[in-house]
Amino acid sequence: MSSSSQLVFRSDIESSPPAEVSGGPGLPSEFGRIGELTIEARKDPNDIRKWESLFNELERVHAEQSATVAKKSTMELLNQLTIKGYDALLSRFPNLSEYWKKWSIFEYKLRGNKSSIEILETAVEKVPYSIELWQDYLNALVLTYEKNDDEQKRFIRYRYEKALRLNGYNFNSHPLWDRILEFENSIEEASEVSLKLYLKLVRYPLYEYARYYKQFTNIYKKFKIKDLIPEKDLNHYVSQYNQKSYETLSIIEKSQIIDDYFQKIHNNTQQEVSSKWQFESTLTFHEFSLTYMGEINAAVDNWVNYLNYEIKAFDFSSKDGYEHVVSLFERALIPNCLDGKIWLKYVAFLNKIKLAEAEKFGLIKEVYNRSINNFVPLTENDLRSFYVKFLLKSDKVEVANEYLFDLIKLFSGTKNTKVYLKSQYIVSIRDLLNIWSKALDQSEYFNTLEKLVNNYFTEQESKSRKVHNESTDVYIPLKKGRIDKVYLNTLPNLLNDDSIPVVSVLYLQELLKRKNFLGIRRFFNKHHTEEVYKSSISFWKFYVEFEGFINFNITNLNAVMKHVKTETQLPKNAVDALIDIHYDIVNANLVDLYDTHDTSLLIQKDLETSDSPVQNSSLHTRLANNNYIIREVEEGKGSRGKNSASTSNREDLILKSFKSQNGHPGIIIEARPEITNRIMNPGNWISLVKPDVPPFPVFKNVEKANMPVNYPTI
Amino acid sequence: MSSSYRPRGGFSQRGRPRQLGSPGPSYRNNQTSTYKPSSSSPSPQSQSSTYRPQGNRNGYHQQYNNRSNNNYSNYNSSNNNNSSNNNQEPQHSLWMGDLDPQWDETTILEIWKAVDEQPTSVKIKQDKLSQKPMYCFVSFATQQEVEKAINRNGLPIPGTTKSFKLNRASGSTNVQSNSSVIKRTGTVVTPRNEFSIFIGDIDQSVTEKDLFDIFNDKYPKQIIQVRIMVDLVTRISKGFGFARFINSEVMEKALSELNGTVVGGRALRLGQAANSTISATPTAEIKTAPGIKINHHPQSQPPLNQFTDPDNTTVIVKGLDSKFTENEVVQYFISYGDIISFKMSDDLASATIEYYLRSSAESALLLLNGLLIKNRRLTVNWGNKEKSYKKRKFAPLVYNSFGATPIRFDKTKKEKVEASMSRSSKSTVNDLNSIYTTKKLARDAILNE
Repeated sequence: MSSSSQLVFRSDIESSPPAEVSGGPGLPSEFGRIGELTIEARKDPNDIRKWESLFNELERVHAEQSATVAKKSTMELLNQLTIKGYDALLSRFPNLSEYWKKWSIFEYKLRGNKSSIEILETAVEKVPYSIELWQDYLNALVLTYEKNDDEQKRFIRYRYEKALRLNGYNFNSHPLWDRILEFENSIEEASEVSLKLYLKLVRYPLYEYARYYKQFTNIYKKFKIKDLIPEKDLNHYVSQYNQKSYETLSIIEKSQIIDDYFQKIHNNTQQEVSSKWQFESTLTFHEFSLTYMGEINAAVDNWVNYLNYEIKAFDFSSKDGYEHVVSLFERALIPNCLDGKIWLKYVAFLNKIKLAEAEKFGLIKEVYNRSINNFVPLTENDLRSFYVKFLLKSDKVEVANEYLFDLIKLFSGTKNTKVYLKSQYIVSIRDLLNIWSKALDQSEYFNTLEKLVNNYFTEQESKSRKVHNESTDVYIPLKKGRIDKVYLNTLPNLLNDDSIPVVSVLYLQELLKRKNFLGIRRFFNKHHTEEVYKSSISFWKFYVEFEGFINFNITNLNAVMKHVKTETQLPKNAVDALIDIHYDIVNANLVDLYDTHDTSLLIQKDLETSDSPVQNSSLHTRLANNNYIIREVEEGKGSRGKNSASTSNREDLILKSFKSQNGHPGIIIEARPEITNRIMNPGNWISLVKPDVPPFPVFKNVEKANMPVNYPTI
Repeated sequence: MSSSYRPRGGFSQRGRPRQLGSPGPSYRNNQTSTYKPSSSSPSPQSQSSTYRPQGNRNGYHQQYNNRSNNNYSNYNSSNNNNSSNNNQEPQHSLWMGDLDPQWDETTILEIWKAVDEQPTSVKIKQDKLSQKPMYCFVSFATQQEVEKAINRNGLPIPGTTKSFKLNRASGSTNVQSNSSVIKRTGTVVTPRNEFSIFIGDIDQSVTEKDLFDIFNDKYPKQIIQVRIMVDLVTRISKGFGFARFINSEVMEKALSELNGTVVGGRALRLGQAANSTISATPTAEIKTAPGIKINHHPQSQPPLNQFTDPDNTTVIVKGLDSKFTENEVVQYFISYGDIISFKMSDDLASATIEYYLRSSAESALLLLNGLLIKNRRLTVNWGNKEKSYKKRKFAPLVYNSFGATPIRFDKTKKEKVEASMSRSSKSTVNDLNSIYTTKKLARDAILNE
């Protein structure tokens, strides 16, 4: 359960739960706890138990109402609530086939056969690879049709053909086949139609392959040999019997041929089944379930192994039979539909098949759409990035651009959305700018970046200033594809403190490409104290590498590093890594630097990277500059006019704070017993020549030793 | 030893027929009533036990004959008893103090029945001056029941605001198993408060119950009583008292372990009570000169809590928000050591980080508390004992970081962790080179976010 509570879907951040019908207080009393339960389920839509209790309550109320003579309006409202409930759950988790079934049963009780079938019909449209649902659906169709209605018969055949096309190759599809064969037999024993079915069936490696073979051997003699065996194979047999045509074969010979032919097919199928069985037997979960998320995730490797086996066995030189692998993928994606990795595998497989480009594109796009929109939670970045790459590769720059823009809007948490998903947002911004760098003209791309960065800071200074003043020409000359100018103008509104460092670094890299070193340094001088860069690793990494590797200027590097070490809010390991780079540079160029530059880092590197705030002076300066507790103390002092805020004062404060926590971090003990006239202190030293006896020690704070410890309140 | 008592056994055999009119009693409970020479009226507990149904007389005799030898010692101790306290308190009784003035004997009986003990009688002793009940004696059928009942000392009395204040009635103390052993072996009878310690520097606010709880927490069921001396006139604590233990071992343990315990803001000063015996434990004392002995007792430490427990390696950071990705927060914390688990709360406002080592957690707490990042104020605190950390089953195998840089156990494959743990102390040049390379790679990984 724990993993399912972290699922975030698009619907979660886009729409607030519809309040009208689901609202609790408006419901009449005979509805029991329906309203309350609805709200609860909506609030926590990943908890299947809440849905469960909602549906139970709905059913209970329904039974109660139908026992008494209920008002028509009451029943109608009940219907509406039920539909809304199931619809909400199943649009979130369409693969919960169990709930489709429950819904159809509920619908049957409520309104009868027809609407129940309608529900099942939607179900098989939404979940086309569920054997269970198809089985139920066909069952319902067969039960209700009129024997002599040809129109309906055709319709059922049309439906089951679809079911078989999608699921016929499924290892566990026997209930479906059984249902269909039963239907055909009820119309006519051993008909042409069932022959066609059997001819397929004996070749498919299914769990119950032997039974079908046996059934078939009972009836195949009733058919003509030319209907049973394709001409090519038949001719082969005919030539073996030294005949001209199959028509001249004797009945015994024909029978022998048929037996032999199907025996061979059967052996082949048997082999396939046994090789699949080693994988099939490891699969424990075939259905999606929220309750068993942990187990499903744990068993995903079994599916992956099976898929790998099938992909390896597949012959990529022809496209024949790829549907069978697809069928397996679709089966795997029923329980594992939230797993982005399997979707990606699926896409990779489709990509390798020999198909016409357009057809392949359609297939892959369909898979991407399904996975991104219906299944994979928003927290998975990879799938969405790959989709963008796929679109780019297929020259769909505009689509990709539009798609990313949509995502950025969704993730940024600005507009109607409620949640800010940072890492997804940053990834999308990167992807988008990557597209632009390819799609836009070089100079245009550069100008865009420059504008983005500069606007951001100037806009912060004066919010009133209008940004979009040029919209005369709608299109910009592009290398390939077109990007609407509107996008270029809206992006500034979607940038925030987290994305601006990303844009800035891209801008700086562009400057570097143009060898505009002056521009890079100007940018540094102008913006390096900006709050947004204080915690941006990539920004500082760029400057360290720029001064250290590209523009080898040790004075500047020292200055940059000093700022990094004392002013920034970077994580300590990032600062340590930058110090390490700095150290490597100094070390490698020692001969040139020794006389002219500050090379104290050679000695101090270990001190500078130490965890001890006392020894590592740059660490405690950095912490002192970025600690709000210290700032508050300092401001308090400043307001009392004792002394103005200075850096050294801050450092003293933080060192004092560390001292008061010495040995017991988190617990501040202000007063400790101390000897005031320690002989270690200068001035108190004892002469060994003079006969003076040192004075007795004088203590302070001794009485405070027994003071109760002030533990912080949590 | 038993041989000397044989004649009395013979006497008991002869005495038996006198009670033949009543249904056969069980032997063990019967003896007190039968052999108490001065009992003109049977005491309550003997009455209740006398009428316990028994099979038949023959059966009784058989049983009696089989068991007679084993029971002489019991007989002996009860006989001694009678000589010392024949008129003060009844047999198998305990002292109960701190009574409500409203209570009478039946109320007290009800109280005991409510807690599932079955006292046979209650006798309230009146205060001579105020005529208010000050204490009472509660009698039980057997010594076992007394022992069981006395365990309730300090527990709340159901339905009232008071707690049980119990003690062994002075007469029944020598029925305790250990002291009766001493008697049987014929050693010198020791003074009553044999294993007592003196408690000094008691704060005015500290009650007897407070002290009892402290001792009882540390040595459950091994403390008999705690007394704080009060001024008779003003009823104000004199600031010292005594504690009595069941044996010398506990007493000495308490002397050494609890000395200096801070109660009510003052450190207790413990010493040996004047008349208590101390068994020979040379380790605890240093003989400076004949006749002078100094006991060295280490100062006791306050009990461990989530801030001080060395097993607590969990810190909780608060003040985050959606501006921080999990990876970013981890970067700040993993700088100080290997992380066993990292969990962000669902609203992204806080995170719980369990470190492998306490030292890492201490560094993180010290250096990251109060940090200002992206205009968010972080507070870092120790993990809560009940919620976020449990006592470690075993100490860490290694006290340094495993990898070239600290790693996250929950995101690293088990084999990789094990491989880095089993790194041998002897490193070849190749090993060192590979460590160097991994360090540089890790550096790049950190900088590439």
